[in-house]
Amino acid sequence: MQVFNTFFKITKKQLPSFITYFVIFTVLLSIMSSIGTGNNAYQDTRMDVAIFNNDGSKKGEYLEKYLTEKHNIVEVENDDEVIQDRLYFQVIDYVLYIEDGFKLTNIKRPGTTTGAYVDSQIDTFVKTFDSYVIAGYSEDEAYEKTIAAVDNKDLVSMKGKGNTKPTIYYFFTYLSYIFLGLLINVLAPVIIALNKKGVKERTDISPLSSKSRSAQLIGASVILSLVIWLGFMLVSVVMFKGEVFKDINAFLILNALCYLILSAAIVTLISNFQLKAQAISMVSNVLSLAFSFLGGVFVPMEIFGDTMLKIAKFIPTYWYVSAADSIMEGVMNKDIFMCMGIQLLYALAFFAISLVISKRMRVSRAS
Amino acid sequence: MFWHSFKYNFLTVIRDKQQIFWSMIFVFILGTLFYSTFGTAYEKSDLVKNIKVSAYIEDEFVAENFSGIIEEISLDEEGGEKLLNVTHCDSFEAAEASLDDGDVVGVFYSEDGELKLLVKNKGIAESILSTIVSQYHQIITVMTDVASESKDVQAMVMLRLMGQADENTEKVLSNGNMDVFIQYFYNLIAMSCLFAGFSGCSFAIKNQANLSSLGARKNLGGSNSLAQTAGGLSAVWLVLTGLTLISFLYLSIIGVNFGNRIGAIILVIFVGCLLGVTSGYFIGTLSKLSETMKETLCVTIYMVFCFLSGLMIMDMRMIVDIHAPFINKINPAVMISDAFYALNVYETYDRFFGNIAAMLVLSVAFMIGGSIIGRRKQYASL
Repeated sequence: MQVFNTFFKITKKQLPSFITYFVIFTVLLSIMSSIGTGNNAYQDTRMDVAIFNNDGSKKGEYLEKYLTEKHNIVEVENDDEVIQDRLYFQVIDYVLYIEDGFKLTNIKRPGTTTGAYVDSQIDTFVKTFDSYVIAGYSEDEAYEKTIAAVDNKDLVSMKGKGNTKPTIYYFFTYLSYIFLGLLINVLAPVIIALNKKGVKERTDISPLSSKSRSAQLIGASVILSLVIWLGFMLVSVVMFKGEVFKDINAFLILNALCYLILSAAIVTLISNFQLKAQAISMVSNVLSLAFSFLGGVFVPMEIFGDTMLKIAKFIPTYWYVSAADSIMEGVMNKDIFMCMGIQLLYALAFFAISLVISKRMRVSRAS
Repeated sequence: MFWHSFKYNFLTVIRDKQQIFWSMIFVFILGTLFYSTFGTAYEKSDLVKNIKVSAYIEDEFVAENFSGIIEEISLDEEGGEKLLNVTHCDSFEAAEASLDDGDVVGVFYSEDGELKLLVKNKGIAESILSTIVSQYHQIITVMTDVASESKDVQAMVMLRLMGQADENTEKVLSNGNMDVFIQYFYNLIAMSCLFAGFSGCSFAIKNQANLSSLGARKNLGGSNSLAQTAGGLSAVWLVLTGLTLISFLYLSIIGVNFGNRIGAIILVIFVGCLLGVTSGYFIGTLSKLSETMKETLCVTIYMVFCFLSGLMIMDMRMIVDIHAPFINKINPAVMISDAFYALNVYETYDRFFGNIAAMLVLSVAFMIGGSIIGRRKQYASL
């Protein structure tokens, strides 16, 4: 059990940095997943609208009321620079000024559909309201009638659950970034230390068979990885409570396990090369960010171009995210297992490549 | 002494593979990833056009009216591209299948004499389709409601409904590029500038006798330490600015639109790197922490700055701005990316120079701080 024990002795030495990583990543994860649902543009019909109503008329009041029902009303300081910043950063989508005598002025991101969308709603409302007033209705009646006329609740139906994802989805997809980053940073240095030329050669001449050495090394790696996995699963249970086990959400946990195995496989591959601490952090940053961006973790795949989507399919993370997408549909389907299977196949491939490389290195060293 | 120190630090930094990786190669990689994933995202999310939709309308009354309205609505936009791209299907099943396959965003169909819409998701394209349905519904409802009125009233109502839109004047605040995704690239350059701090930090460590043998040697010599520090840091600053400029050039080549005020952009990069180098120097002189600890400290601090400025998640910058605006005022990454933003969005240079001034003040503060801590140190025993 020497190798096994040494593994954890080295890990123990790294405990402070391990805990730091864990805490930083947990905090990052909770921040990320809590704001992951933010982008309204492709998920929600509700725009963020600010209204400055300086018109005393009933019509102005009703328009404001109508928009309040249709959109999220945001408070913003009436200052061009602040409004410009908020518009640019998509905190608000539309600013409407209703001036004396029902004069309308708006500020939006020029030429955008989001702006045109609100424009057309205002236009429809005003025209309908006016029509009823022309037809002799009082303003109060006209408003009631207008609301009924523009109401499309029963006219639009959705097939399936739609694409609005709960926070738990973002927690689990962002987890892939964390797993890969954390495992490379924590596991790789330990394996590399044990694979160091002198250390490895010393172990090789000992009575310990290479099979036993590998078994101990793999066993220890598995345990460490599982601890990390369990840790984050606990975090998820604490954060989301029962939601984790609702419907088929528990598959997210299984999916995370598949990705963990995949990450561990990538780590074994990396560990074949005698990397220094700084090089490890380079590899970890580049790989985890690249996988997350190309795999659809940080930006939804819907906004990918066609070529990008094709490239993304070669990134293992794509399959992790796709599995999570399928799970979110709430019904068992074979896509879930297919996506998990592909991740495991990737893992297998990485393990195999890793074995080949380590064998080659051993042979070249022996000769 | 100045030039001697300048020369050798210059050589040291250009041979520092780590630094070159973080300031340049890492930016290349991230920039390429950013550009390939959301280079066209703004157009897809905010400039929706040519929405594909299927239609199967059985009801003759609806079909007749709808085709009129659809023509009204899917008129050519100014650019010439249509808002809607309607495919008429032979059966509802065929239309539904095209929705399932993801070929179209929604299906228009008729039921109980009403125009209806079937969609799969909730998004801006779907919302626009639903507005069309509600516009149709609105016109039919209004006309039914006023059917009992006199012909004159009906004509006036019709005129109002179909007539010119009300005056809803658009006030344009900026003619700049409103693509918010470009923020990622601003932050990337900000990160590259701040990463200059690694070399600043390592320079400071090489001046400390208790942390490096080179520092011990330097402390023994009789050379003017001010000239030595100034020379060294200038060299570091120059090389790192060069690396960031190359990164900027690369991003421009792959197609990121930074605008055309090149002179001002180069100024931001110069000052940004100065801020990076001096902050690194300051961290380097700070306390007796080991070299690795100081490096970790640098990475962590810079990454947190960049995270808060929106390098990973774009919304972060505004979240901070709304809840804790003070943090944005002192965050170097925000200063750098905001200078770029000001150049893009505003015609005037007020905000831009405000940022440059803030960066310079902060750099001077770091430099003075670092020098005060770092000077006249005595080591009783090493």
